[in-house]
Amino acid sequence: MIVIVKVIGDLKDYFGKEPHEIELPEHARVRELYQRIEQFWGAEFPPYLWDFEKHQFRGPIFLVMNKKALQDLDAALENGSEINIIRAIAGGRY
Amino acid sequence: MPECAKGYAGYQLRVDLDRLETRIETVAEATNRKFLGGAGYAARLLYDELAPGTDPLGPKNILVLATGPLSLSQVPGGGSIMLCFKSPLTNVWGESRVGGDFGPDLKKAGFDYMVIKGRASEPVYMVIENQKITFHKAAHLLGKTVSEKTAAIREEIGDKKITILCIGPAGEKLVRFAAVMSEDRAAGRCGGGAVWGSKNLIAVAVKGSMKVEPAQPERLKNILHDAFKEIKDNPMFIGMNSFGTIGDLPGNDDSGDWPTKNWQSNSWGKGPELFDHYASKNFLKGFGCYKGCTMACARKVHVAEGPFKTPVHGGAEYESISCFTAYLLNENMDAAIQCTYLCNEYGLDTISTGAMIAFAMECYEKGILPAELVEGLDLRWGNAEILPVMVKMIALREGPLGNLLAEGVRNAARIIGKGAEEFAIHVKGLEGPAHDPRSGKALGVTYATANRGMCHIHPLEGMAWDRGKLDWGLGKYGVPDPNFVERWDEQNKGGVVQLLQNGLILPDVIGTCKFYMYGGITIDHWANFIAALTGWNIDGNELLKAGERAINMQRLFNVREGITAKDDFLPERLRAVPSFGKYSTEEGCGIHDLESMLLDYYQARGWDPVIGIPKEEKLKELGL
Repeated sequence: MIVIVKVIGDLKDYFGKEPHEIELPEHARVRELYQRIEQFWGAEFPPYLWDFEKHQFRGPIFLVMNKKALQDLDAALENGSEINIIRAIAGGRY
Repeated sequence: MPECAKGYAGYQLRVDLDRLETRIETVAEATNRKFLGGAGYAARLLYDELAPGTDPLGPKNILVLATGPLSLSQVPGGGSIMLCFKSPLTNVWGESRVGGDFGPDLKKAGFDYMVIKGRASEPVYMVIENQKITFHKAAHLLGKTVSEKTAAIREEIGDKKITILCIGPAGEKLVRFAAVMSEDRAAGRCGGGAVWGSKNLIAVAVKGSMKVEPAQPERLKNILHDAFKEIKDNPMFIGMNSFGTIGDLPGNDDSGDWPTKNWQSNSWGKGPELFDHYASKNFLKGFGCYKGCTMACARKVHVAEGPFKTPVHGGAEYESISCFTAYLLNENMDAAIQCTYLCNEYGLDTISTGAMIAFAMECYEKGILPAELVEGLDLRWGNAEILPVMVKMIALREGPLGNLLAEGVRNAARIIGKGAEEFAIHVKGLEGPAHDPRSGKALGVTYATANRGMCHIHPLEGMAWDRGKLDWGLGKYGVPDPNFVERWDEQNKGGVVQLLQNGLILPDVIGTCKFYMYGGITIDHWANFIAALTGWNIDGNELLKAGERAINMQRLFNVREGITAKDDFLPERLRAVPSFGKYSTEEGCGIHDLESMLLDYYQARGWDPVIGIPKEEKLKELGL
């Protein structure tokens, strides 16, 4: 299966500006996508971004597929889906 | 409701505190169309009615509480009201926004605006209920915290749910950066709480049952339904809902957007572990600050045990936490949480309070604080124990040091002398928030030119464009695609900032929460909402023009108070490469030519490039 990974905001510093097509095994889940992400881009990730022991994003970085946040490593991916990688960008209201 | 003002409550409440009298007047539809409301309407009013040179803490200062047409709980971000006044901290334009239900409830009570003048002979609070206004003695409330005052007033008037804006002890003591509080939401910046205190106005309670009638109710209902559906699925909306503003902490540290040790650096490397502590030990739940908010980015936190044990409260969010951690090299998140709680209860701006403690710590390190001021306090960087003590000292003006720091960093530095001005970080007298222009140069122009001073969000979080790669849907109005803009490049940033400011001031004018723009609401949504509410044929371009008008009106207010191009500056420390941290060897992040960026900005604004004052033809174009 293939998913399209599109990064939003300043995480493009690590992934580049363009979306990426990523090939995964049939019926792949989030943990398989994370394996690919670590394999392709992990070497560039700063410590705040990636947990190299759990092989997943750290803290307030998350994936969105079909307009839903993917919080679970076992969440199933869908062939041809666009998956956004994002971190909150904000300041404060005063 | 007046026939001519569909979509508006239609009335303005004039309050004369000298006589404890009120007067209700209408606002012409043409005025509302031109200035829309909020900080735009208030700028016109303060320019017209406030004499230049007025003492901000004297009875002649004027407080304007201004909703906008969209300050309605059914609108995305509609829980909003602007407080505008001449600032006792900066002596120029002062404004502060607060969430919560006060804005929508003021409209339900029949008013779009309140204009408060004079000074009561004794402390009072006001109750507004469906255009019936009463004044109540408040001397017995003096010294009580914000939650105590709120509870006491509700008890006295027999309404446990009535919406209340009030000041805390810091406002009573005229601390120049005292806040006005709506429970644990703050109109924090610029010292509005001190202006309330100077007028002996302790609180305003409001409720109403009137309804603003939209011109096109069915259209409004449909476009609101569609907009909520649209943003619910927006990844940025999901992010704000899931993590709140504090979710930015690790990433901002990494990208050099986290002022550290009184701006000696823009990164610290402690962001991830501080965030982890917050998420695992302090965070309880997210919540919406007004009825109807679906974003719910606000955070409820506590400290369950230990020396900094702190009750459950809201408000320990990105700015506040950053100013009580990185600013001070404080690694103790629990202490920072307690400080935010104390600021809420005493009614203090968390940003300025953290900045004042950072300034004091640097003065102490450099040995320029006289011993009689220090009084044995251990003001070393990162000393968590001293932080809550300092917050209380400042709030109550306790001791010579508390009293000095309550004056704000510009005044305190002048009094201390001995070179303290060098590290008193402010623009136009307003202490800086927790974003660093060395992470994206657009923020440098924003800080230098914002009418209320060194502000990250009124009108614009510049770094979110060139560093964060967001354009808030303004691409079609000429804002370049940030994906093709280098964050440290300085070319053309000034011109873009003026356009971004015109767009991003709009939530402060139309009465909504800016964060919904991060969640996918654009200027075109706002225009559609206003069109359906009012029946006006209004579009994004007209809104942008109203935003530009508001910025120019505020600038005119400031010019009359003596502001010129010389006041549009950045402290030297912020222009230099950080002295330590991840970016200490990165020449690109220093700000090399602010003057050229400002020149670009003035030209785009139609302001005189030498003195920074709006030109006659620009004022004519804007109908000012």
